[in-house]
Amino acid sequence: MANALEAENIGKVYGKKVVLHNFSLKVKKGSIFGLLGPNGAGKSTFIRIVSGLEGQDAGTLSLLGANASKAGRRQLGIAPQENSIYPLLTCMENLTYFGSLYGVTGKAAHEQAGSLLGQLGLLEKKNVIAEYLSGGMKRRLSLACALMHKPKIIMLDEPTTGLDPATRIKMWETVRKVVRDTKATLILTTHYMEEAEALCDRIAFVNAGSVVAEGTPNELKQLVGKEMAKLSTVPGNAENLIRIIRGINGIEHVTATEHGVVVECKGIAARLPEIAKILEQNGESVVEMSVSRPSLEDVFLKMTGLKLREVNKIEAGKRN
Amino acid sequence: MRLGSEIEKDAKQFLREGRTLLLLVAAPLLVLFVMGGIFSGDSTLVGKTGIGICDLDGSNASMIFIDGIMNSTEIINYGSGMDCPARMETDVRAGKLAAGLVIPFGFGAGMEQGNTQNISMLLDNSRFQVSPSIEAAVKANIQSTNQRIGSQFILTVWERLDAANARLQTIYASTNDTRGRATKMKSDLKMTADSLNALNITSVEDEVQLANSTVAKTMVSLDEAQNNLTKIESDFADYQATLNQTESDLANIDDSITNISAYISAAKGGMNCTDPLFYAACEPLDLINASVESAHQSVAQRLEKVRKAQVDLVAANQTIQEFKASIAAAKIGANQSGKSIQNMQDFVSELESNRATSLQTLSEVDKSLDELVLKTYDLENIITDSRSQISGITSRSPDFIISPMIVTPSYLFGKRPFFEFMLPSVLPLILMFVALFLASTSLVKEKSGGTLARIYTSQANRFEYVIVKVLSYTAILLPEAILVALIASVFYNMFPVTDLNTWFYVLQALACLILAFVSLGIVIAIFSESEATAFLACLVVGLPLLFLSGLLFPFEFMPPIIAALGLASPLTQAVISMQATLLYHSSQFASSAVLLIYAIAFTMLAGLSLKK
Repeated sequence: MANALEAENIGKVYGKKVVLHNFSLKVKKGSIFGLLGPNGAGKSTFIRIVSGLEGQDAGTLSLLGANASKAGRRQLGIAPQENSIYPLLTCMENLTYFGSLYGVTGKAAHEQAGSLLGQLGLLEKKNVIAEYLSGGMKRRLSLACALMHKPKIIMLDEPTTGLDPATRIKMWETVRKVVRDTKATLILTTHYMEEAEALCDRIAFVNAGSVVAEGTPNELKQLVGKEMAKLSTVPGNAENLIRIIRGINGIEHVTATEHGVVVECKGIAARLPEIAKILEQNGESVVEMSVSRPSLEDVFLKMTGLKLREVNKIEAGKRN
Repeated sequence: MRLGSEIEKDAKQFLREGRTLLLLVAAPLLVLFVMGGIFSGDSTLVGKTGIGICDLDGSNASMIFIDGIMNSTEIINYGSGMDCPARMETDVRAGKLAAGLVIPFGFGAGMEQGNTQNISMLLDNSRFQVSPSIEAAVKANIQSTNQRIGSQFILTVWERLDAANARLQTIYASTNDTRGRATKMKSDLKMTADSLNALNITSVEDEVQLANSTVAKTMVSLDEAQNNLTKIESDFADYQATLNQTESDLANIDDSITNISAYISAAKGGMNCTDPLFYAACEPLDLINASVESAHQSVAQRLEKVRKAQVDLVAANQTIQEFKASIAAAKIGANQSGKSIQNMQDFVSELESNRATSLQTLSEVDKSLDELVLKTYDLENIITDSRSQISGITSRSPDFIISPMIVTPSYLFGKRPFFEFMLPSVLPLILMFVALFLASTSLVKEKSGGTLARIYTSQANRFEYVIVKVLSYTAILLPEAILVALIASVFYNMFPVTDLNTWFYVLQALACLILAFVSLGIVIAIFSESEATAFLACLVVGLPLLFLSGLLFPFEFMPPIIAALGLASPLTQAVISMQATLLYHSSQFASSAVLLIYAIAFTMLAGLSLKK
């Protein structure tokens, strides 16, 4: 099966800042592909390059088996990070307007708009001015706008950013439904691990302008491959805690977290009583213990040495 | 991109946004009506403006001046106290008065004496809208007063000129008389010259010369005679001496004879002559005695004759002396005659010289008289001309002399309020700002809202996009243009509402203006980060265009380069087009063409500048 999108060694520089460097990935047709990475990693820049809003400084890009062209890009349906809708137009008006940009007009536009509004649960709001919609509805309307011309590749840039958890989950359902109904390829960017894990067939970890890992969620988790124990302790001397655990025989890796440490070693579940005892002997109280299999966040941590949320905070701080 | 969808989308957004609706409809109407109220005054009248007056003179002349100026503006009398100028100046400097006039002491008296009087005026030229009117009103009043005073003065001059004209008439007659006299004098001179020429001085000279020659010859003759006489005298002296010698000789001879005779007698007496021996001797003695006697007698005769000759010679000598004296006297007389003749010659020469001089003088006098005669003609011509000119001047009215030209204004558009003349400028001005604000802020919103990027993802061409946006905003603003034109027609009588021809010209001009400024607004939006930036940029662009449009400040007062810049600006072109249509009822497609060129240029610039 041909790929919907192929990017090879894409590079992008703004002034002296390298935003993308040897950015390469392949997205299979009909799949849901996630670009996962912190803010500022280069995900949105890649989306802008794919959509034609930016030109790449290096590398090649092909869409639907051909070099990216205007015609090829008109097969894209892009929902930008912001809602990017006209707040003073109704849902129907927004849809018919964006449909008109692709030649979907008249009755066909109204039928398509009605269909999309129905699919996305906005039919009752079709004549409501977009300004008065909730955040989730606006996001769904923005998604619907991207679908008016029945694109073969749908690109969602941070589709759930800023939404509350319930709305986010509802949005995931919507996305799944859209993909199911349209049979289109979907590429989304997110910095939410759970979103990527919940929605994506394949995921590419993006950090500092490059794809650092790519695969299915399971493939990525296997990169870490170990069970981990999460020990939550009362606030104390983290450095002392790490030093103590590292002194235990067989412990492979210890990482500090917000409320404790993550400990990696073979058969960690069986060794938890021993570890708890040693900590107690050294004056560190364990409040909670749990054992988890590796998550995507663990993979990210493994691949970059950074925790995704922390990176997001740092990036947010930089922007502010 | 479809233009219809774009217009529909933009129009719906504008209609649903109260602020935009306000900007589009209410604000322009409000501006129109507010400006209409502000500028509703009659454009042919000078507004009442506060002018202070200090009348330090208090004369009739100053009162006349004040009365005159009160007709044209509001007067605040500051009285005539010494502090009045200072108080008034303080109020002018404080902005309470637009101007202050001070009529000085001696104003009226100085006028009567014919001295120019200076009324000082302190003008607040920061009120540049009214200060020229105030200055013009004061000057007009001064001109009116000057005209009145000047008329009186000229009437006096006229009287004097008439008198001078009469005198010139007398001079004319005198000149004529002078010429007659000169002509007669010329005739007399000619006669005199003829007489002088007729004088035969040459014959007199010849005569004198002859006399002189005669005198000279006489003198020579007299000299010769004198010489001859002297010679005769000398001869006479010689004769005298000879006579004397002869007398002496004769006397001696006589004595000798006497002696001889005595001898003979003695000789005879001693001889008896009777004796024939002696006889023969006596007889010769007798004969000799007789001869001696005869000789004696002869000598005596001769002696007598000599003596007589001597007497005659003395007489002759006397005569000669007398003659010599006569000759000497004659010489003296001849000399005197010679001198007299010389004097006569000198006199004749002088007479000749004098005659020549007199003739020369007469000739010169004649020439002078000719000139005099000619000059009398000239003088007569001058007098005639002067009299004609004086008559020409005095036949004119003094008012004509003071004001040979007067202006009788005839208002092309009648007595209409200011605003009706401002409307052709105000309509484009309002639409310019509306177009700039609308286009720039709307597009900035599209940029910041992300919808512009979304449109780009449809692979719309940037030039296509700009053109569609320009046309869309223009289409949305056209009803606004129609609305303001309708207000201009209905409320301000700019043109009959049923005049479709004018509607066409008005709307084509406004449409071109909107196209130009919408495209400029899009350029502004492209370079603006936010709506606030776009708004400020519109003001930065729009306000200079307003000042350059000639609405607030006339082109005639701008530096040439700025005026040229102003004339070339799109707003000015729209104003020119509207003025041509609404005031002068002529089409101005050239201005519309310029506006279209601006629209195309700005659209191209926007297309080139637009980044994804």
